[in-house]
Amino acid sequence: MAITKTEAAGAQEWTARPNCSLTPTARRNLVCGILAASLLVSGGFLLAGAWLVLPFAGLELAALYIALRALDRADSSSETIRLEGDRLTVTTRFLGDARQYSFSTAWARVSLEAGDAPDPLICIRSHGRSCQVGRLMTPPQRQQFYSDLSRRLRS
Amino acid sequence: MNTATHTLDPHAGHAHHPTGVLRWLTTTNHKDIGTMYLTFSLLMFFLGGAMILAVRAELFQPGLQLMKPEFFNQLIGVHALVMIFAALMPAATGFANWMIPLMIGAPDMALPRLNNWGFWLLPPAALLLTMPFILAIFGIGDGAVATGWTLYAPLSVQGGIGVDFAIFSIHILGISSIMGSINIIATLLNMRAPGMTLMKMPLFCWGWLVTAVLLIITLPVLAGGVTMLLTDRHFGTHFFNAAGGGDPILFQHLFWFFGHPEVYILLLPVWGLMPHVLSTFTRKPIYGHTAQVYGFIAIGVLGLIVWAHHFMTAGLPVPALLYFMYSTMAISLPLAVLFFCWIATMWRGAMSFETPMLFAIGFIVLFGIAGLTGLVLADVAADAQYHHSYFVVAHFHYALFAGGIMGVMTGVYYWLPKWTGHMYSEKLGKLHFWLTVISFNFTFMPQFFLGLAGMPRRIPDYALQFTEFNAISTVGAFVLGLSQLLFAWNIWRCVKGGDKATDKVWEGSNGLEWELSSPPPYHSWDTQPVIKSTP
Amino acid sequence: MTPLNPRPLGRLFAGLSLLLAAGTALADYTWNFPTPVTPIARDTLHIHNEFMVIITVLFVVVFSIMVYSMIKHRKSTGVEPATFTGPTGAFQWFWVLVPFGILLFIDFVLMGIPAFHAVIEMEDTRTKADMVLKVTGLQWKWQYEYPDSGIKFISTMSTPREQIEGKAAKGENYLLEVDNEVVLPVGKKVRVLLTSTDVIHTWWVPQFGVKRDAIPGFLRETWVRIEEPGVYRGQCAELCGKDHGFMPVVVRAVPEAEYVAWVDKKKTEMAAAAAGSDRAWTKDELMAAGKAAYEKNCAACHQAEGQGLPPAFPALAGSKIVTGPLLSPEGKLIPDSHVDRVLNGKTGTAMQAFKATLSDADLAAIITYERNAFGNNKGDMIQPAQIKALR
Repeated sequence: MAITKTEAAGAQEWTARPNCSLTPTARRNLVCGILAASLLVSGGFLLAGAWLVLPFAGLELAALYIALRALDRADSSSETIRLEGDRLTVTTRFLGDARQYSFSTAWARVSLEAGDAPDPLICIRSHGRSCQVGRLMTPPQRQQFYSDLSRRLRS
Repeated sequence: MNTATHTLDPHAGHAHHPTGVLRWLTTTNHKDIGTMYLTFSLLMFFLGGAMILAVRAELFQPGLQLMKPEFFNQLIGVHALVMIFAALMPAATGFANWMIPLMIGAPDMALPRLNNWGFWLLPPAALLLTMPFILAIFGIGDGAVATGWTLYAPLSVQGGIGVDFAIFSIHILGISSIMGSINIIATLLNMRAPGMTLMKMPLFCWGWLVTAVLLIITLPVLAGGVTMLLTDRHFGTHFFNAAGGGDPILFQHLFWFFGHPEVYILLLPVWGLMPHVLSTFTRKPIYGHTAQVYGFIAIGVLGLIVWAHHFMTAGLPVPALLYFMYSTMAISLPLAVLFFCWIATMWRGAMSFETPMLFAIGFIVLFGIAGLTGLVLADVAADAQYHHSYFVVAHFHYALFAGGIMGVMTGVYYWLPKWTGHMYSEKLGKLHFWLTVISFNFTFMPQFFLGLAGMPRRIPDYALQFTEFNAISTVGAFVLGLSQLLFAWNIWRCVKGGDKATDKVWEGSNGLEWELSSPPPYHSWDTQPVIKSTP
Repeated sequence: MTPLNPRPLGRLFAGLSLLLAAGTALADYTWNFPTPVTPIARDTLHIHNEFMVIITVLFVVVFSIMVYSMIKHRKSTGVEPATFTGPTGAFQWFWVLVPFGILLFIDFVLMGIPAFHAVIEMEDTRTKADMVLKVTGLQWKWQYEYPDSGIKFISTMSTPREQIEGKAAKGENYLLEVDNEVVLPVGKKVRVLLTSTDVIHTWWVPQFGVKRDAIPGFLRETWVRIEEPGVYRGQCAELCGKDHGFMPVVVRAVPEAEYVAWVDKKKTEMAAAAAGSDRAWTKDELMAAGKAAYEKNCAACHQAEGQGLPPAFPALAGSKIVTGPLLSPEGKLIPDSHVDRVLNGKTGTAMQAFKATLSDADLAAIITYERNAFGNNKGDMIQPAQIKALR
């Protein structure tokens, strides 16, 4: 849950993304290592006549792989909020699903609204369109970001 | 371009969660789940303890006084399964849930919902394991699994419905352990705070990482083995039946390929915890952090290749006997690294002896006895005499009670103030320690001599020359069992109230988990800390 | 935070090491293996004693260092904690590596070499073997067979039920006494072959230093050369079901001449028993012999009054199988009938094929007894000669 704020001339950008200490290479090595060890073991038992070990090892490695993939998809998520001139651009990527919203700073209204998440999310609306951000921010970060953004929109 | 990282106050509470029963059923919070694991473990510890006290009462005097041999056989097997799978493993997983996110600066476990499922599989599994006892009262079946926890075929092929219940229970426990392991691996590898390299990761986390990998490699073997047992029992396969071309010894290979690493699965988290405790109460940094990491890995690897020393009397070929003897002896080397580092951590420190430190020292000494007797057990010739005897029973209780359970107690006393925000009663804690250590030795030291004198294990009645030592052991066991009530009482008091604990709790404590308040907020490390110094 | 007085700890350690030392130093065998009577047992005891001394020394040395540290490096003495975290420099590395060198030496030289020789000797069952004894484990008794002389008998625990249930005073060899002892000659290398008919058992006589599993469908072997005449007692060491604690091993070692006499006597007894299957028995004879044989072979599971221990061990009293027809009108075996069960057992249960272990006369007597006792008044009987024909 790292939120970074970038300021360039006339523009501000906030990017929230989950922190991940597992690099793709390390993950591949891990899965390959466990796969090799598991295959060695279940292959050995297969030769000894205990073939039922193999399907269980397969199931388990599949579970490990799915879990790590789930992490991977969570890792590629991000929320970017860019404020440049009179445009407010929101780009969200969740589990590979990317969306972009664009608002005029003059018309955008920001509020904290309880959605389906346990904590209120930041809702940006304008002319009947709306989007929610803050899923990748922790509650305090969200609070901070909310006050930050509303202050800037008002000024 | 300039980048600034917001550091926000992690102490701000944001506890929007359901209350009451629903909270505990649906929670994905690592602290809630950790608490549930630990509570479950404590309950099961008393259940398994009650079973074995009934056994010890029967063994107080020669003759059958309290129970029939069938029931005796059920108690010993279920005692072991409950203690290993429902008391010790959940305790370690409870520690992991509570402490790993706090130690590595993560807001929660990597896969919180999986975490919830992992826990809620445990109560049904424990129920399945013990239900045949209750069914037997109503005349259904002939009681729980009566084959000992090892479930050796063909005895288990011949057994009653208790075996089927145990097989299903083991499957569910296995799924729960796999979920826990995957989650812990994902958390440890992916959720570490920026700056915490693998080598800087706290040793407790390292112990658990090796444990989780061992579980993933070995559990399919157990699952496969018990499934083959099930098909042999009900679907006419002959995996373990010589008449059908099978081999009963194959089951022992399958069982112990899991069973031996299981010992390290139970002990590695505790070994990881010890240096933290020693460093805290010696006010001195951990000695040989890197050496201990490699020690854990070496023990994990060696643990995978020594399984057959559990059945050296089964008639293995001579080359196999020699291989398993020498590889087992080799485990003493990485284990010696750990002992060396523990003692070197104590050397020239400024020690004080609070309850966790007492338990840690008790652990080191008594676990030392387990390690040394294990070295002797590795020798095939002498093993012929020790094997299947009370010598082995004493040895593995020094490993799993003094090594496992006392290690867990060390952790509970060490972290309880952090979890509850209150100090436990130091006086009660010390009393608990001394009663435990003394009665433990009264219980199990005589069992070494019983084994040397030739008493086989798992017998409900014994020859007259074993009477005195058995009587001493039973008295010891009852004192040991009853002193654990002090432990429960002390925890209860501490949860309910007591002196406020500071954030740091101990003068010499060191690490991320001690930077949070005591108790930590419901959501902690929402904003990850950045690690600069070495741990 | 009160510092702890180190003395109780010190005393505890001293006590522990004394306890350990007691196992090694004292020649008192309550604290150690029973007196060895075979070369293997002597070897094993020697190795055990040596190892116990080694681990006691290791224990004392390692934990003396720790106890010294606990006394010297206490916070209450006002010491400043050091800050070192690992070995640095050649000198420190040297001192770190020395213990591992010592441990390597202990593991693979001091312990490893004698262990190697002991294993080789223990597993050498064939060289210069004088005779063979075949041991078969059954739930819950042992069958012994001497292939050289054709002698074959079953050995069952003879301790009365009353002693176990506390209704009578326990005898000197409580639980370690049998009806038929195995007799072996002193000074001969006996190759022991082991197998089982049902589950895994383990044949163990502590004074022989020998313990080996009896595995159904496989043959395992070990050997003994008993050096002293005497009676040696042991037990089954692998959990084998309900009466695992009640299947002792008793070996009587006698001088060669006495052994030869025993063989002759046994052969005569067996010839008499074989003759029994050819003559016609009266029902009373069968019932009397049946009661004795039932109590020895069947009562452990089906109980003395035939009430059984359901569901694992069904009742015989009023049982459909027992009260069913005896043989087909042509005198053939009816599948799943009473006779079939007793002769061939039931796979997957503790009911074993008794035709492998009991004589024709015993089988006929047991079947006749079961059909006419416990209120099963069938009134029929079966002759040993009929059993012989069914084999």
